[in-house]
Amino acid sequence: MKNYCGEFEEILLMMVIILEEEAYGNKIVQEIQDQLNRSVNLSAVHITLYRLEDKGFVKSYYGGATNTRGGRRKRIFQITEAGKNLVYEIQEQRQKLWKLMPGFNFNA
Amino acid sequence: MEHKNNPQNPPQWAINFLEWFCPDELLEGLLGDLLEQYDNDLFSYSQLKSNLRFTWNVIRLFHPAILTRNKFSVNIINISMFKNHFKVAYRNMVKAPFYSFNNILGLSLAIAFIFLTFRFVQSELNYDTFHSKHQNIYRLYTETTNTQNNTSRTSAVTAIPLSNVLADESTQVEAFTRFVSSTKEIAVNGEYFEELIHFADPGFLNMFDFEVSGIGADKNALNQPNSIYLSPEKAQKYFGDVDPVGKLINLRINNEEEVLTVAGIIHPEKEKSSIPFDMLVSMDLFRKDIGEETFESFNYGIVENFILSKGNQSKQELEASFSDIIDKFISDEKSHTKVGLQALSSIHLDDHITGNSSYTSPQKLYITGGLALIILFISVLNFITLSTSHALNRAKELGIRSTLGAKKGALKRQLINESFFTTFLACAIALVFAQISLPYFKELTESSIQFNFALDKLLFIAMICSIISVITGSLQSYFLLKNNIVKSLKQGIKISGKNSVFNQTLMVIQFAIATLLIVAALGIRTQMQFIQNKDLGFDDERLIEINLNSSPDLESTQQLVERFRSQAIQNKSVLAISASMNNTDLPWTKFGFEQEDGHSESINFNQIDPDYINTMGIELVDGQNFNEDIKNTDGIIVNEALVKHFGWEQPIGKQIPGKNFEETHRVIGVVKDFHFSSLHEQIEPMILAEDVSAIRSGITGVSTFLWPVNYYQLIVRVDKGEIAPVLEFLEDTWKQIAPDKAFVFRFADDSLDKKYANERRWSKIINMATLFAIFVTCIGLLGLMQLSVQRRTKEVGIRKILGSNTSQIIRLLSKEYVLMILVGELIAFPLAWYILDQWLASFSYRITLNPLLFLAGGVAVILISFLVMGTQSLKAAYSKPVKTLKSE
Repeated sequence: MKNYCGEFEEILLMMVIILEEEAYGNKIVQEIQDQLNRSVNLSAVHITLYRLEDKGFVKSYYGGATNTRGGRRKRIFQITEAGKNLVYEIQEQRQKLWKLMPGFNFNA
Repeated sequence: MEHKNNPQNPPQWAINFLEWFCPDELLEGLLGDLLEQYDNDLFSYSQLKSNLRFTWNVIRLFHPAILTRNKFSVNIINISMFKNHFKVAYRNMVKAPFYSFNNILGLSLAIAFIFLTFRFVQSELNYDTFHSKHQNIYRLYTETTNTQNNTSRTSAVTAIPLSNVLADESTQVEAFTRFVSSTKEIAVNGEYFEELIHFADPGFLNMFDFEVSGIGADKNALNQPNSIYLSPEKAQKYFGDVDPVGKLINLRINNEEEVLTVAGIIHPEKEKSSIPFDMLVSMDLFRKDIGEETFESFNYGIVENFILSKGNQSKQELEASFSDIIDKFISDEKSHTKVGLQALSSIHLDDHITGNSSYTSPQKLYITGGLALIILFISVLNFITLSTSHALNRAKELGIRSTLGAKKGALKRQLINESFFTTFLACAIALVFAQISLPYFKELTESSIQFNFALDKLLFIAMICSIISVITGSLQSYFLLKNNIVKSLKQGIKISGKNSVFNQTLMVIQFAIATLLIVAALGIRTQMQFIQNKDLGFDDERLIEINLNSSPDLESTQQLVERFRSQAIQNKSVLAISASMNNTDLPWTKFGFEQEDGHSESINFNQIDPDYINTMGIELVDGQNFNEDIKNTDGIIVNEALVKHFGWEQPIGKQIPGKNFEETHRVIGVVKDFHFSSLHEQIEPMILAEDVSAIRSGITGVSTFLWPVNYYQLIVRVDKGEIAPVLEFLEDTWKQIAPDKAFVFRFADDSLDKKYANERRWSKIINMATLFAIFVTCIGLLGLMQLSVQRRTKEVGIRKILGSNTSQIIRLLSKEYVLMILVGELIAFPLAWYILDQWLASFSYRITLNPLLFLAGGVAVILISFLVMGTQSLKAAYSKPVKTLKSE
């Protein structure tokens, strides 16, 4: 695989897609908690998102000013084409592997 | 959601910290998220917990992913800045080649030396730790307290059954081994050699991790008395490249030849082990050698005992329980013996409780380390003086940088970067120097360190490198940047008072160290010469000692001596031949004689023949020598020290006091004191006898390298002239009369010399350090002179025009340095006196410290400095004023 991607990175990519305009640090932590019942660290999320940005799978921009958080803007993350492709690619490969596993048949 | 009126805030320092390391473009989004989470947290958790979570998150963000982004955004400038700094550093270096050469040379020599020292200390500290069980291996020692006079004696050379008994009686001993050596004669393929043989128990190979190799090698052969292990060197010596396993070696034990089979090659790892051996055989052979009675006795300290503990009990617990066990075996109302443990890894650096194992005085580490630090210190001082003075020349460059917008911090960083550049170069060169001087250094320190670039060594170098560059860089920037840098563009930076005081202080310290070392070197040299020229009381030149390899049988030894004498004396170059028990190489036999009041008189003893006094060249001051024709069984000859010790006025006819004496021995002669041991020791009381039976009954204690009493040495006095043909003749004669004994000889002056090898080595090291210190100080002085001459070119020019002559100009330029030298020397003298006096205290026969010595050292420093200053100031004095005044 050309682009290696860890499990946590994969989840974050999907979260960025799911949350669309609301994809910033805290919201992502919240969503992971809600959907996956998994507690993750805000700092880890940020660090991983920057890494994904370096790899070109997400891009980021500042959203509009806010009233809360001392007027600080949110850094919103957005999926890139490469990021989308990567998520699909992972999904396809998983699918392929599932099919190869004896005794596990989705259709059965 | 209800907003609180007084929103609680997360810890400010965490926010500051985040702001400090986090790149600006990330900060807003990150801090926003963190604060939002903090606010949410306050609803669900206590403030403390919220604070902790916030702080923890900030700490988590101190992560390469964030930090390197930081680098990425800011570093585009940084990298090119670094490049520029290095380029400027390089240009500066090339512009002032003399200055840079001095700087780098001095530094790199110092770093090379400190690197080698680091390796040396490291390898000394790691001795014996390669054994996997080393943490549970101990050497036993005994502390025997005399209950009558409350003196105690500690020794790691202990009784043979000690560890054996402990292994039987204690549940805490997993394995034990005794370890002892003896010089023995061996025969390989019918040829005879003398070798140091080591004896050990089977436990030896279980406890220690010495590797046994060879095809078909037996790894457990120490329980078979007819097996022998050879070190690779000995295997090579006797069997060449052939695999020695299964080959035969004859070993003479107790006058019988034992046929031993080589069981394997053992690797003694001498460079990291304090248990050195070359040929290892079973302890059973030692039992045969010294006899059953001694072997089972607790009365003699003969071997080193090692045990492997099970590791359940601490050292103190083991010591206590062992002492209790030993109490049952040693019952003596006059003394009490306690058993102590020495951890295997501590043996190498323990010079208080010593055994037969090799050890290093920790002093050696301190001195080498201290010298390395002194050398590093002067090099750094030198680097600082040179670079701060040199940096003043760059005021303009820094001024322009400053006007173009460089902040003080940036300028400071530039100076540190430049220092780093210089130091880094010096480090690289230092490694080359270290590599080149390694063999010499190994010889000097008697160590076998190796050279490699493992991580710890590179880290060490990197550490040294950064410390030096940060110190020098910061100092430079302090002196340069404390002035208004822009002003310097117009006026040039003047050496402010503080700066010159600082530089002068550094220079004074350098002169002080140079003087200290030079005086120390001179002092050591004088003492060594004193020792060499000291009258020993006998003539040690052209005196040859030949090992007799005696059988225990006194009579056959005497016959051998007689046969040799009658043949050898026919050569005109052989002046005299004598037989003796002790020699100049090893400490003499000491007998203890218990007195009526319970204390013991310890007196040196040597069994000799009537020719001894003549052959050695000792002076008989009273009474007479032994009779050539009739063996004297009750007469003894003593030295003046003994007469003085007992306060005798009329020594002839006296007896040695002692409560056990039965025979009627008497003193028949007194010899003048002669040095039978090294000059570190006073001449002690001594007895010479033709037959030990004269005093045997009085003996209550023995310490000796040779046993039983017999002749072990032939002493041959050779006439002036070529020594080689005489040696050849002696060897031929020996081979004729004793074809089954190896011819082993030594020159008396060589073996005496060996006793001062340590001092000689230190003297070499100090000489080297002194040369280095002087060299570096001169370089520094030269650099400073050059700079001050440069600064004063115009002044010199004007003075010359106004009529100053050369000598006035030289005086002008060197005046302040002369003062510095004198102050430095004044500081150095008392220090040097103290150190030398301490060192000399280890000699019983020593020079008294002469003020002339100090004067000589001081004058030497002044002369060398004048030579250095002369070159520079002459150049200035001879320069043409027209030129210097015109130049801008």
